[in-house]
Parts: sequence; C-alpha cells; structure tokens
Amino acid sequence: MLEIHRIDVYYGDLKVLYDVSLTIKDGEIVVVFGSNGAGKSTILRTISGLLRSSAGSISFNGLSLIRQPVHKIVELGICMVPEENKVFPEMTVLENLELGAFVGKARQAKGSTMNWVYELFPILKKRSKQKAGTLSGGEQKILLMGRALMSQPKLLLLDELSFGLAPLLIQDLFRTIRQLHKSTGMTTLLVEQNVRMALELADRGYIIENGHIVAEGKAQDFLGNKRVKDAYFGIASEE
Amino acid sequence: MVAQVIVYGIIIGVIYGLVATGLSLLFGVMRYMNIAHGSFLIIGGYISYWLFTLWHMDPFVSIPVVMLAMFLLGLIVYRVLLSPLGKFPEGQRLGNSMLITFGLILVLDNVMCLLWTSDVRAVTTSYSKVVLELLGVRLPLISLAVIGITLIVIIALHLFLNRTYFGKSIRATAQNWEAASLLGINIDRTYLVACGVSMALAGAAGAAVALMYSITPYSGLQWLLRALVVLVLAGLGSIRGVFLAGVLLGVTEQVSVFFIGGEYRAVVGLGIFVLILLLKPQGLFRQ
Repeated sequence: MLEIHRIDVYYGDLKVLYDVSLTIKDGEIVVVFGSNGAGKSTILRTISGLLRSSAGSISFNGLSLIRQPVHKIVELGICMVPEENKVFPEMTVLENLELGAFVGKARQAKGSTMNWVYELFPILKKRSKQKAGTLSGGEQKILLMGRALMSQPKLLLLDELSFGLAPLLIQDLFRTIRQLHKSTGMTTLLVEQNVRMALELADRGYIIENGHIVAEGKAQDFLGNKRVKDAYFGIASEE
Repeated sequence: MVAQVIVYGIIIGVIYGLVATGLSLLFGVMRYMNIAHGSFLIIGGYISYWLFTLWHMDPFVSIPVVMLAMFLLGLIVYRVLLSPLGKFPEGQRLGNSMLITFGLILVLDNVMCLLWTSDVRAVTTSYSKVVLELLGVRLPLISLAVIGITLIVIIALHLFLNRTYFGKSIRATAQNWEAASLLGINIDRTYLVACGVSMALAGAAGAAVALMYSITPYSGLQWLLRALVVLVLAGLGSIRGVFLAGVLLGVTEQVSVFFIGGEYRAVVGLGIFVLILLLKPQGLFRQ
C-alpha cells in the first residue's frame, strides 16, 4: 500500500533521515519506535507532505507522493493525527469533526461517518456543542482521532498518540484502535514511545536510531527480544 | 449637541470598523499585514467615482460592482505578490509582507495620481444633501444608507465564516493552518479567497468614503492608521469585536474633537493606540 524507498530528509541544513525505507501492506498495523529525536515523527510528516524528502521515493498504491501538496495526499486517503494539540480551539467539537470530512467522498458520507465516530467515542457526542479549546488534553486527543476518522482514511498515521496521556486513557485508545482494525481493517502506521503496548497491537515494527532504520521485524519477535526490551520498554513505564 | 457628536462618531466609526475588518481578516487568516490596505480602499473609491461619472451608475447600486472588482484585484495581488511569501519560514513572513505592501503603496498611490490626478474627488449625488432630523439630531440620508449597507456586509461576512463549510475552513486555517492542511483543506486556495474578500471589504469602504467624504490618491494612509488603531483596540479576534472597536474609535475621536478641537483628531487615535499597548496589549475585547 505504502512504499517508502531510501528517502533523505532535512530540517533546514540538518539531516534527520538517512536512507530510510519502509513498507506497509494493506490492512497492516506497523509501528515505528526509537529514542527521542531519532526521526520517528519526521517519517510521518514526510509521508503527509509537511516535509519534503530530498532523495528517494514515496508511493501510495502505486502513485508517487513526492511533490504532491498536503491536501492532495489527504484526498488520496492518508490522514495523520498530529502529535501536538491541533484541534481548532475556537470551534465546537461538532465543527471540528465536520471539517474532518472536508475531502471528496468523505463529505457526502459526513452524517453516517459522524454517527460511527460518536459510537466509537461517546464522549465526543456528549461534548459536541462545546468549544474544542475547553476540552481536557485527553479529550482533545480523542477529538483529533475522531476528526481524522471523519476523512475515511485508507491509511491512518498516528503520531505519538499516547504522549502526555493518562495510562488508563492510553489503554482505552489502543483498545479502540484494535477494535477499529478488526471491524474495518484500516491500515495504520504509528509512531510510539509506549513501545510495549504498540508492539502488542502491531503486526510489524521498525526501530529507528539517529535517522537510520536499524532493525525491522515482526512485532512478536521484538516483544520477545531482550535487547529491545532493555533499550525501549523503560520509556513507557516512566510516562 | 452631544447626541449629534455621537451620531457623527458612529457614522465614521462604522467606516473604521469596515476598513479594520478587512485588514484583520487577512491578518487573522494569513498572518500577513497589508500596509497597502488604505490604498486599496482609495482604489475602491475611484472605481465607484468612475462608475458614477462615466456611466452615471448610482453609488449604492455600484457597491457590488466595486466589491467584485476589488475581489478580483485581491486574487491577483495574492497570486503575484503574497503567495511567494509562503516560501519563507513562518517567522519572516509577517515582516516581508509589510515590506512588500509598503512598496505597493508607493506604486499604487502614484499610479492613482497618474490616472485621476491629485485633485480631491467625491461622489456627489442628487440626494447627497438630504438630511433627516430626529429629536434635533441631524441624520444625513447617505450616512444612514451606508450604515445599513455596512451592517449587511458585516453580517453576510459573519454568516459566510460561521455557517458555510468553506467559511469554516477559512476559520480553521486561521486557527491552525497545519492541522487544516492535514484535513485536506487547500491552504493556498483559502488564502487566495481570504485576500479577495479582504480587498472587497476595502473596496466597499472606499465607495462609502468617496460618497460621504472625499478621496485623493494619497489619503489611503490615514485610513490605514485608523484601521491599525482599531486592530490594537479590538485585539485580534472576532469580526464583531473589530467592528465594534471601529465604532468605538469613531465615537471617541468625534467626542474628543468636540472638546479639544479638530487639529488633534489624529492625536486621539494614536494616543489610544499607545495607551492600549501599554495597559491592555491583548486588546479590549479579549480575555
């Protein structure tokens, strides 16, 4: 479905991704993990078009994403849930969700998608008339997730979904993603610090360090690997 | 007597509000400051003047024409001058937009001087002198009509931004352009339309100014200054806030002119500007 082939990415003069390759097959859940500043989020930002790769290729269902504007990439069916808080604070929860269905076919199906999102996240229905800026951090995260689903993405990119959230809420969110995957088979690429939980959810994983992909494998194998455990599982318990 | 002064204040304040709303729309959505906004207002005034003198088009009938022409001009200005600024890092865009539009003032003002000479122009209709009286307060007919039309324009803008899907996408872009683009909103197109609407509002204000007061190629700057004071007064936020701040400035100016004399008119506005920045830099209507 998504094929990233040997991309290099710069932030200004600073090189942050070196020769990164990554593939996601239809219906898979893939997790990218690694220490802070390793370039995890950069990969997602490059796929969604916010950053540009200086070398290599990215293709989605055979279509090249290089040089496509951000909104075109969303139209193709890739939607990212950004890490930082990116709700529209002066708008109601309902308006935020409506704007999620901005592209193409999603707009016609707005009503039914919204019912589905309300079913997945009942809290959003309860808060629908409230300004998004008045929600708690966790609720805003749920809103971001719901808003992304409104676009009916084929590929969902989740950037540090668990960051800054209470453990209980994280478990809830992960349960929802699993449920979502079971019912719709939605392909998902997530970047996570909460490595253990992400691996339990995912089919495959990539480890990225200092901008290089250093390992790739089945999630099961990573879970049983002592070196992976020692190096990455601690981060989650500190959260 | 005081009631009369306040009425005159409201009349000019409505124009201030309209000018400032256009300026604040562009700034709010794109974070660009259009220093040439006043000059565009004057262009709108001249278009109305031309339609009136060349084609005898009633200035109220021609307002939609003026707004449409200015909307199209706004699209061109965005495409040619403002959209290239998107290449700069975010921190440099505001400053560069000010530099570009400042240069634009010099060009526009001199082109207008070539086209229409530096003579003072005004649109004077057969009903320009009609004045109604209510409880001893004089109400010029055209001023009342301008207030009515301005209210319609402001309410229409409000409905466009709050009720329509495209308007909502403009507000979303203003609040967080990156998040908006991640939802598939075409930011470039949003900016284009916002720039057009901003110019259309300047055009409407210009038509009103040509009708109620007068225009010269170089009088854009004084309207820009008032609009900047209004922006600071309102704090950047809602359209309603900016519009009300405009009316407030008009009334304050008029009342103080009444007490301390007309030569201090500009001083009052700038005095308010400094005071607000010192005491309540977030603006009057912002928590």
